[in-house]
Parts: sequence; C-alpha cells; structure tokens
Amino acid sequence: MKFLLFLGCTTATKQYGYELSLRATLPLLGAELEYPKDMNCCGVPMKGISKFYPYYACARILAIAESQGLDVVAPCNGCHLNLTETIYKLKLNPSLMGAVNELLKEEGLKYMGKATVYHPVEVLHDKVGVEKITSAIKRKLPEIPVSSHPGCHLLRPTEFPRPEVRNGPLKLDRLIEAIGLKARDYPEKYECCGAAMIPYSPEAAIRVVALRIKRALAAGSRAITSLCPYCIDMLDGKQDAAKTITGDQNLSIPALYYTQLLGLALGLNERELGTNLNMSPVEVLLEEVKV
Amino acid sequence: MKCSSGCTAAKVVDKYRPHEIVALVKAGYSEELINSDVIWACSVCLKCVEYCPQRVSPFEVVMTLRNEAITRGITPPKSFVEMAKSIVKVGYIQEPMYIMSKEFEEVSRTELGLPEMPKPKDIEKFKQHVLSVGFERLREVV
Amino acid sequence: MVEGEEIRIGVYVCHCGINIASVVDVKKVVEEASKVPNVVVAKDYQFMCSQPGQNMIVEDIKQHNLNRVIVAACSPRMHEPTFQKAVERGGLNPYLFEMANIREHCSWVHEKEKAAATDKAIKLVKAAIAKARLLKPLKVEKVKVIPRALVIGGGIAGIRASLDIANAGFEVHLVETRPSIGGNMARLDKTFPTLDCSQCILTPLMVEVSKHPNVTLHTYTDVVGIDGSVGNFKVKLLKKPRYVDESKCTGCGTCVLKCPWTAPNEFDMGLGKRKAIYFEFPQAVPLIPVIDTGHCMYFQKGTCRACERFCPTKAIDFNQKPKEIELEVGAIILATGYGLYDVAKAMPEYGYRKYKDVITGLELERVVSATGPTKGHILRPSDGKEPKKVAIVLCVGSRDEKHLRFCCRFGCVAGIKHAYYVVSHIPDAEVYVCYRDIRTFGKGYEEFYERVRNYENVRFIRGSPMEILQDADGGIYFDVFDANTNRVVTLRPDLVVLETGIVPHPTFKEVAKVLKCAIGPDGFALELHPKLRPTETSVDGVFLAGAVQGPKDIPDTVAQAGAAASSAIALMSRGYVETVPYVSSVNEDLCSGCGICQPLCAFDAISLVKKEDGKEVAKVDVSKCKGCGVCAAACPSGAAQQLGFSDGQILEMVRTLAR
Ligand SMILES: Cc1cc2nc3c(=O)[nH]c(=O)nc-3n(C[C@H](O)[C@H](O)[C@H](O)COP(=O)(O)OP(=O)(O)OC[C@H]3O[C@@H](n4cnc5c(N)ncnc54)[C@H](O)[C@@H]3O)c2cc1C
Ligand code: SF4
Ligand code: SF4
Repeated sequence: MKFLLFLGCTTATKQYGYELSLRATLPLLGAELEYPKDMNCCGVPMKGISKFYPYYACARILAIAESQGLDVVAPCNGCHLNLTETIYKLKLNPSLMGAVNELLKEEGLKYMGKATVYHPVEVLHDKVGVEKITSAIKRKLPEIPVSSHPGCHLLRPTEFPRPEVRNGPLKLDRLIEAIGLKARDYPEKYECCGAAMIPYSPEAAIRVVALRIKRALAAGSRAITSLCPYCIDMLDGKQDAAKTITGDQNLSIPALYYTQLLGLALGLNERELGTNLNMSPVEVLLEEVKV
Repeated sequence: MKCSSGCTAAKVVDKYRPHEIVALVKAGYSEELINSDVIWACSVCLKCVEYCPQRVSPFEVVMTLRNEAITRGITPPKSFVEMAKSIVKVGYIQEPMYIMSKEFEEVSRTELGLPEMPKPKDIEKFKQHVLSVGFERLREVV
Repeated sequence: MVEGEEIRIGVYVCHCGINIASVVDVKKVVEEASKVPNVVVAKDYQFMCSQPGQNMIVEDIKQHNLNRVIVAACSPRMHEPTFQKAVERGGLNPYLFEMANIREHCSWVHEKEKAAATDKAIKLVKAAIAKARLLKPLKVEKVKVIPRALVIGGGIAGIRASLDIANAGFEVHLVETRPSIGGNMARLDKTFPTLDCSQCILTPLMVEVSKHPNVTLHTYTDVVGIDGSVGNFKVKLLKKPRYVDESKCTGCGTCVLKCPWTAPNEFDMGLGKRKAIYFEFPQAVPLIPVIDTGHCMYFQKGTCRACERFCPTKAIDFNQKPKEIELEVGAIILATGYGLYDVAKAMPEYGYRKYKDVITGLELERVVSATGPTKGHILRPSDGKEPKKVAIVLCVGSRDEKHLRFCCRFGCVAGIKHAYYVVSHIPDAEVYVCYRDIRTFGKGYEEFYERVRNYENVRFIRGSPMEILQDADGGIYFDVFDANTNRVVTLRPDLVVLETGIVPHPTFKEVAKVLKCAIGPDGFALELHPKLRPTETSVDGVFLAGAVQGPKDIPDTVAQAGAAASSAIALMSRGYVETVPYVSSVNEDLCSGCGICQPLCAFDAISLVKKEDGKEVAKVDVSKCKGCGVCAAACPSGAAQQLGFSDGQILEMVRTLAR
C-alpha cells in the first residue's frame, strides 16, 4: 500500500504534529507515504474568490498523482472534500474537464479521472482495518473517555460519498476504541469547528469552537480528537482565546490528532508524534496514558 | 428556514441568515448583498446544503455572491487577500511557519526533520493560470 | 350493415366553441372532406357534443342512409362514448364510428400556425375516413357481476365502506392483516377539530360491522392472490394462525393475565409492553387474543403453556395452521391506509429512536390515551416525569425534496391538537409548535387553530429545526430560527413530538402487485383521474377508500369510503358489466404457436391451447384482455389482431397521412 501524500496548506505550514504522527504511524501499519515533487494548495479557502480555481488546483494534484501512478491520501477534510468533488464533478461535466486539462497541458500534465483519494480515516479503518490495528499496537491505552470530532467535510455533503455518515457508528469512534480508549458521544460532534470563519471574524469563529469544547467537557470527555488540521487548529490552538472571549476559564481539554494517540499505542515517543507542539494541555492525558 | 436554524455562522453572527440571503437574491436585491461584508461570514460547514428541504444550496448562493463581489472589484476581508497573494506567489495560502513548542522553542519544518514542502514546479506558469481562472479580478493580487 | 354494401360516410367537424374554430378553418376542413370518395355528408357545428349536434348525427344516418360516422373534435377519451351512443340511436353499430382529434392534437398545440393547423386537421380527418372504410361492427358482451364485495383493510375507511355495502344488501368480506380491525384511528385519543373521543366514535362502528349479517370478518388474514377481472374476481386469502380457537374463545383474557412473557406493544408504537399472548387493544374486534410466536416461550423454548392450562374453555390450540380461504367477488375496495415515514433511518439529525424523549405524534396519541402505556398521563419516556416544556415539530419529512415531496395533510392540525393535549393535561406546561406553514383547510380547522393559538402557554414558532441534540445531562435542545421575531432561539424541551410524514402502509406495494393496480410517484395508489374519478383505479372493479390513495383526515376518508362503496354497489346492483370490444383476437390459421405473446401479456389473458388437429395456438381470454395491443404488436405472423385497431386499419391511416 503506497500513497502520494498531499498535505495541503494547514498541515504543511503549521500543523506539524499531524504530519509527524502520520509519517510515524501509517508506515508501521503497512501504508507507505510518498512526498510529491510538484504540488499546490487544493483551493478550498479560495472558493469565494473563484469557484473555478479549486477544480484547476485539485485536477492538478490528481494529475500529478496519476503521473506517478499513485492514489492520494489527503489528511485535511477540506482538501479531501475538494479533491473528491473535483473527481465527481469533472466526471459529470466533460467541458469542465476539458477546460481544466487545457491549462494543465501547458504544465505538461493531464488529468484522466483515474486517481482515487483517501482520507486517513479511510486508510486506517477501511484499508488497514481495525483488527490489524488492534493486533499491531504495543499496548492498549487506558479506557479514558475521548470525544471524536470528525469535522463537517468528512460527513457533508452526501451528494457524493463521504468517508463518514451521520447515521451509524463513526469510523473514527471505532478507531478510538481499537486502541483501548472509550469513544464518548457529545451532542455537537457533527458540527463545525468554525475555522473557515476566521478571515471574517476571529471572535465569531472562536465562539463556535468554544461551544464544541464546552459540550465535550460536559459530556465527561477527557480529550478530544480529530483527523482534520483545521479542526485541531481550532480545538487545540484556540483554547486560550476561547477563555478570553467567553470568560469561561474551564475551556481546557487535551486536543490531539488521532494519529498521535495511535502512535502512543504503537509505542512511539512523544517527540516522534509531535505532541510537544500541541497547545492544549495534552500533558495531563500523556501522563495518564504512559503507564 | 431550516438553514437559518442550523447555520453555524447564524449562531454567532446576528446579521447572517442564509434563508434571508436566498430570499433577497430571489427578490432581486443581490446588489445589496454583493456590497455587504455579510456574505463573507459563512463557515463552509455545508449544513444548509445537506438539510435544505427544497434542495436550495444557500452555500452555493453565497459563494456565487462572493465571486461576483470580486468581479466587481470589491475587496474581501483582509485574510482572503493575503491567502490569495500567497497562492500566486508560492502555491499555498501561506508559507511554512515557525511554531512554538511546549518547550518555548521556535521550530521549523527542517528542525523537526520534515522534508521541504513541495511547491508548484513551474511557479510562473502556475501563477499565470491562477490569475487566469479568476484571481486577476482581485486588484490587490495583480 | 350488410357485407359488400356501399360505404356511406358522414363527417362532422366541431368548432368546440372557439377552441378549434379560432385556429382551424373548419369550413375548409368540411369542404376538403366532402371531396373524399364515400363521404356523403360533411358538416360543421359549434358544439357537436350538444343535444342538437348529436341529433344531427341521428337524423343524418336515417336520412342519408349513412353506415359510417366520423366526428372531428376533441380527444376520444372525452366524448367517444357520447358519439357512439348517438350512432347507436341512429341505428348503427356504435363501433362504426371514428373520431379525429383536432383539438388536443391540433388547435391547442398549433395555436400560432393557423394555416398549417388547418392542413393537419384535414389530414387527420382523411386518415379517419380511410380507417372508417375498414371498420367492422364489434360486439359488446355482458358478463354477470358476482354480488359480493371484498374490502381490504379494516381501518375506518374499510369499516365504513363495508357497512355501506352491507346496508345496501350485498355480501361483504372484510380482510384485516392485524388481529383487530380499527386501523390507525383506534390509536388516536381525540379527533380534531371537534375533539370527540376517537374510540367512542369508532368502537360502535367496529362492533356494528362485526355483527352485521352481511359482513364476514377475516382478521389476522392476508390477501395472497387475486385472479379474474371486474365482476368476477377470484380471491385467495391466508388466515394466519392465532393459536386460539375462535369458536371456543370467550375473550375473558385469563390467558393474557397468566402469560409470563412480554414483548413491545406494537399498537402503542412500541412504547409499552404486552404479553406474548395478547389482545391488540382492550376494545379489539374480535376480542380474541393471538399468540406472538416470536416471544412465546413455548414456541421459542418448548415449555410454558400457561395459557393453555388456565384457559377455561380450552381454546388454546398450539397446532393451529395457516388456513387458505377462496372467495369469488364482483368488486374490491382497497383501504390499506398508511404508515409513518421511517424518520429514525432517513433523518438521523432528529435523533428519533436515539433520544427517548423524541417521540412521534402517533406515539403521543398512545401516551394520552387512557388505554395507552401511561394510562393517559403525559409522562416522558426517559424518566416517567411530567414534561413542563414540550416542542412540537411539524413537517418532519413532509414537503421535503430529499424525503417526501407531498404535504401530509393532517400533520398541522394533529400538531395543534397535540399542543391542546399538553395544555389540557398539564395546564402549567409551555408548548412550542415549530412550523413552516400552517395549513388548516378543513371545516372547522382554522377555528380550532385559533382556539389553540390563543392559549397563553402555546407559542407558534415560524421555523423548523435543522437538528435535535442531546446534552450530557440527557436534556434535549435545539436551535430554531423564528421568522416572526428574526431570532435564532434555543429550546430545551422536556419532550419533543415529531409530526412525521405519511407513507403508504408497508404492505401496500405487495397488495398493489397482486391486484396489478397502478402506484403513483408518491408511492400511494394512483386514482384513475385526480378530480373526476378519485375512487377508481387502473383496474376496473377495484376502488379506493381512505389513506391508501394519499394522506387523508378522517372526514375525507369517510367521504371517500362512501363514494367507493356506492361505486361498488352501482356495479353489483346493475348486475352485469360490458366487455371491452377492442380485445385481441387470434387468427388460428395464421398462428404458429410460437408463444411469444403469452409472457408479454400483463393481464395473463393469453394461453396456448392444443387444437383437435394437434396444432398449438394462442387463445385470448376476452374477460381478461384489456386491449392494450402488446400481443398484436409482437406477433411475428400477424395472427394476433386488436379489434378496432387492426394492422390493416392502422396501415391505411398511415398511408393516407403519408400521402
Ligand atoms: C398522529 C396522527 C393524528 C391524527 N389525528 C387525526 C384527527 O384528530 N382527526 C382526523 O380526522 N384524522 C386524524 N389523523 C388521520 C387518521 O389517522 C386517518 O385519517 C385515518 O386513520 C385513515 O383511515 P384509513 O382507514 O384510510 O387507514 P388506516 O387507519 O391506516 O387503516 C388501514 C387498515 O388497513 C390494514 N391493512 C393494511 N394493509 C393491509 C393488507 N395488506 N391486508 C389487510 N389489511 C391491511 C391496516 O392494518 C389498518 O387496520 C391522524 C393521524 C395521525 C398520524
Ligand atoms: S455552509 Fe455557510 S451558510 Fe451554510 S450553514 Fe454553513 S455557515 Fe451557514
Ligand atoms: S383463550 Fe381462553 S383464556 Fe384466553 S381469552 Fe380466550 S377463553 Fe379466555
């Protein structure tokens, strides 16, 4: 199993803990990751500037993957959505496909509609499988209640298939349980982290994520986990801001990438997983998990 | 009005009501919206796309209004301009940053042992294309 | 008409007021028609279907010795029968008549091209003349109608229709799949807008129908086969075993009392429990219990038999087998009613079945009912406490392009009634009704809405929630945008009632298949005409009553049941039906016995028979043939011909048109 790793902007420019933990865990489970030589942004935050740009940007990414004969793994929900949407819409719309290829041709590329895109939740749950993970881990983590935050774009829209569905158990929850932790439901787990509102109003965006943290805490969760760099950027990185803006000093919970938790179960050390880069109080959890 | 009941943005931005945006567009008041900053509030959660009982997509309407605003030379919130500029320059919404570790060290990709971030090979061609697919309408970028 | 007689045709061109004449030059059509050989008279008239118009045909037949008549007017679906009767009055076989449609097929669709429309009308008339020359008299046969009706479904629709037919003096067999008749109305506590107690007005009818000398009740029975056609249906029923001998049981209920095993009560929508041997509800008709083998310990594990031991009349019979019943009936009434949209599966965002305190309107009816799981007290399922804040959500799944596109027609008023239930049971409760539009179209409905609207503690919120969530403490909450106040409000109700969308009864698809009657795009039974023939189906002799045709409140259901019953009564009291003459007929000399036509016939009308000389040929059962023409089109040897539409006649029309 070998994939082309398409990091996207957020992971590659600041969420290094995600990249480190992906690189450390996936190959141990038989999923090799290859870095591309030529790459660009998927275009998701630029939809408002140009609806066409994301198609070009994504087709470019897919064309590069095709030229290397690889499928893509896109660790960001936004990238995964945009890439999937491009595959879906270009298949339905040959003229759009033509227009995009017109541009790619000048760059010596061609998108043929062959490459498939996976999200790490799919790689782990569907490709590697829960059983293999259970047998690969060095030790089960203690039964600490952890809430999953799949993130909007892993679930919506359902116009074309998304990795997770609202009706039924989440893959991410199964993965949490596979390494010994307890998946703890909280009411707003299908909601938005607010990240895309930052350009308009950081305060409004932080009010959104504050609500999520508040509900997860109320549900008795002792940590929150996701596989989206936007979500973790908000859930992990904006806790201090959330305290200031809402005045609620209790908004404090360890927030980690699932791959970081998985790495701990696989016996990797904290540096390899980049947990020292998380801004939320992850130490509390790490202490508990250590023994 | 399911959209306005569930909309992420509507819960924190009082003047943002996706149903109202759709109704205004239908009634011919697009102009008002294009000139207002309200259309930049959407959180792209896609809940309105998913649960609208009439298969209307307020999200798509909002994105179309944003595109139209750009076409008219209206400047979007600053961060969007910054991101667009960066894409034109390096292919991503921003360049790799130094981040603070728990040990109060500023670390970069290299220091963490991560390979260099792959960028568009022919950045000039890429730039030309990005501009041609709509970014050229953004005054600040050109 | 005598063979070889000279063909004398009369052509009548109708103005249809200005519907035709304002586009088509009718005088020119008449002029052209009169030039065609065999046309003896050609006339135009303002309204051919009027009395003078028809009389003109009758007179001309006599005066000019006509033996073919053509009317160029509207669609034959509209007035063919009218003119056929006129032709018959003139002394001719009614099938020596042909109609040219110069309205729907011409003036209405070529409004802007008058000259071309006139040319087309002339062509259509000439084609009709060409066919008319080849017309042959056809015979209509009369088939006796069995004076007995079958009613499928024992809800209020089926009960009302059965009573009406029985009171008219005809025998009725009423089939109900559940152990008791009553249907969904039996589940309701009160009925809007007058708030009569549902059981009080329904139970007397249930008893009356069960005691009526003309009615045979088949409860716990399914329809498994239907053969034949209008007037002569052969019906196969399968009576499921109750494991209780109906002739011995007195309905004392000792068995139910003694049975130690329980199961979810389906009549209470799964809210309460019932025993493994149970009465469907206390007022069940017939009052005979049934053993649910899925939950009976004897059937599951081989021990118990408590009911058998204690039954004073020795009515328990563990060896009862399913029983087949065969019937012959002349008319059928379909009254299988409705079911609820599967909101748990289709709309997980509302948390129904996930959160205990989110219930459906029908569940609330059971909760409020004195015979329901809480003995008539409104208590919420999670902790049995009285809810002080109740949210009622309308249009759950209805009027939704992703779910059910249609309006459920009683959800709004049911929701208003449910608000009334809450405040009348718990006077200090607050009720929030979340609506998209309130539709109170029925008689007395708006007045009822006004009454409930005026309660201080009932608030109407103009907006629907997108999702319903549950907090860590078990509390339900949701945000809803209220268009009246332009605010997103967060509600934290103790109980949420979903007025769910309505779908056909889950068995309906199967029944429709057995009956071969058409299903509409919404999944309900399709009526023959939405306005003019709302109780008839695509199958002659099968009529519709109640929610099987689409969501309906009780007043509409009862009205339609009466209409369906009178259609069935009319059919049976006339005593005969006329066969369609346009049936298929097989020329045995041409037939090669290839059998291609047999599986193609949707009505099972074709069989292959051996003639005396050993040759196999196709044979058409004219009582089943609907004249669809599939066999005639498929027959490679031209042996199968549809009378009135033979290959020769059609080809002659085509030739004329192509000229
Ligand atoms: C929550 C709620 C509240 C309501 N309140 C009111 C009210 O206050 N006032 C009002 O006017 N209306 C009300 N209604 C509407 C009312 O329930 C219907 O108008 C009425 O029940 C329709 O009657 P029906 O006989 O057509 O169908 P049903 O009541 O559904 O009866 C159909 C019967 O057919 C049987 N059946 C189904 N399939 C087969 C089969 N294949 N073979 C044999 N039998 C079969 C079923 O078991 C059932 O007994 C309410 C509805 C709901 C959901
Ligand atoms: S996509 Fe935008 S408009 Fe739609 S619900 Fe989310 S935030 Fe609101
Ligand atoms: S089966 Fe026996 S015990 Fe049960 S109701 Fe009938 S008579 Fe009574």
